[in-house]
Amino acid sequence: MATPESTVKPEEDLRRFKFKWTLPRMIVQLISLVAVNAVALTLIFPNIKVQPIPFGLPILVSVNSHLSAVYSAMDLMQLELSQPEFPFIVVGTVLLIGAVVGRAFCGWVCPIGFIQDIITNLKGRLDFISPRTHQSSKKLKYLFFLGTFLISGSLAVALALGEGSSYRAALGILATGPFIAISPDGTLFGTIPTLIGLGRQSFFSFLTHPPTIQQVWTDLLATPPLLALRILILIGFFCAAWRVPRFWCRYVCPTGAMMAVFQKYSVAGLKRDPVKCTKCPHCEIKCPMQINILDLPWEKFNDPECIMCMECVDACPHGSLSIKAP
Amino acid sequence: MKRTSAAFTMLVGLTAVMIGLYLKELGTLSQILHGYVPFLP
Repeated sequence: MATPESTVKPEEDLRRFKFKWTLPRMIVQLISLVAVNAVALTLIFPNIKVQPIPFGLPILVSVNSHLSAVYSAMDLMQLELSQPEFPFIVVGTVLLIGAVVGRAFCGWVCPIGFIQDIITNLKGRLDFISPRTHQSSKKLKYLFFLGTFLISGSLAVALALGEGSSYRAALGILATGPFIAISPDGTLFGTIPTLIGLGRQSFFSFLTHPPTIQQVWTDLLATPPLLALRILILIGFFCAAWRVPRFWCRYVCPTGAMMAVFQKYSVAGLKRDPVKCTKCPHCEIKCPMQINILDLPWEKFNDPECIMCMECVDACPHGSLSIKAP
Repeated sequence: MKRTSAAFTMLVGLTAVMIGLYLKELGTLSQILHGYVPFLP
């Protein structure tokens, strides 16, 4: 006769005591958000002095922000190429991080990824787009990556040959980095805080002496086109993140495209136990990058889109997914 | 194959970092960032 203890299935027992990655990941993301914008601490606590370090990580932290303590590897590469200098240390860091953890920095450290995760959590559900559209759209980020380095690289070569001054003049603001000019992290952490700082006093006069519609319209028309474009991109970023989880990481981010190349061969990966796995779709449903996990090889999989967020590992009711390294 | 690729990538990365340190790239980068004016169009 079965005792009450023996009626508990091994899978249920396993699920009850299963370690969840969601909370530790969110804590790491929060700490990273504060750490990469640590210069902001000097504004809150004047006794703390934080100096930015000229070091690049494969995440989005803009050189346009006065709050950044470290910078995006993409931004530093573009900036160095525009001088022209070859970014040895930045490239080396990207190669080292990519070979060891692949795209894990996108899932664990990147502040823009964290903001998108917050938006998805606020929404409370994951909406997916059709597999066909997803498959074709995810190649877009590689085009953005190639386009960025085609401009920056050709400018660097032209400048190194002593022929690039007219090319630089023709590129205008894009010469220091095409992606730096339009990246939403620069707008969010750089331009908007600066605009708020500049407009704080005029905001109070706005309350006491409200402008006419004609004045508002005139001011809107006087907005510089690049600023308008950047704010539109930022609004688009938020809307897209609300509609599709991790939209920016999936389809636009050139840093993600750069790290996706290394993700395929990285030391860290995931494995699926074929004995425990019942091929239920829980892991695929929870994956914010819309990866077809069940179609990947079970021994070890490093999908280029995988950001090692561990949502699939947490979602698996049978505990069949786990980390595999090497 | 994958392990070899990862090891080779790490080796290239480490070499690039060493070359950068030898060429005092951090100082150059610091100067570039010091002279950089953030966009506020």
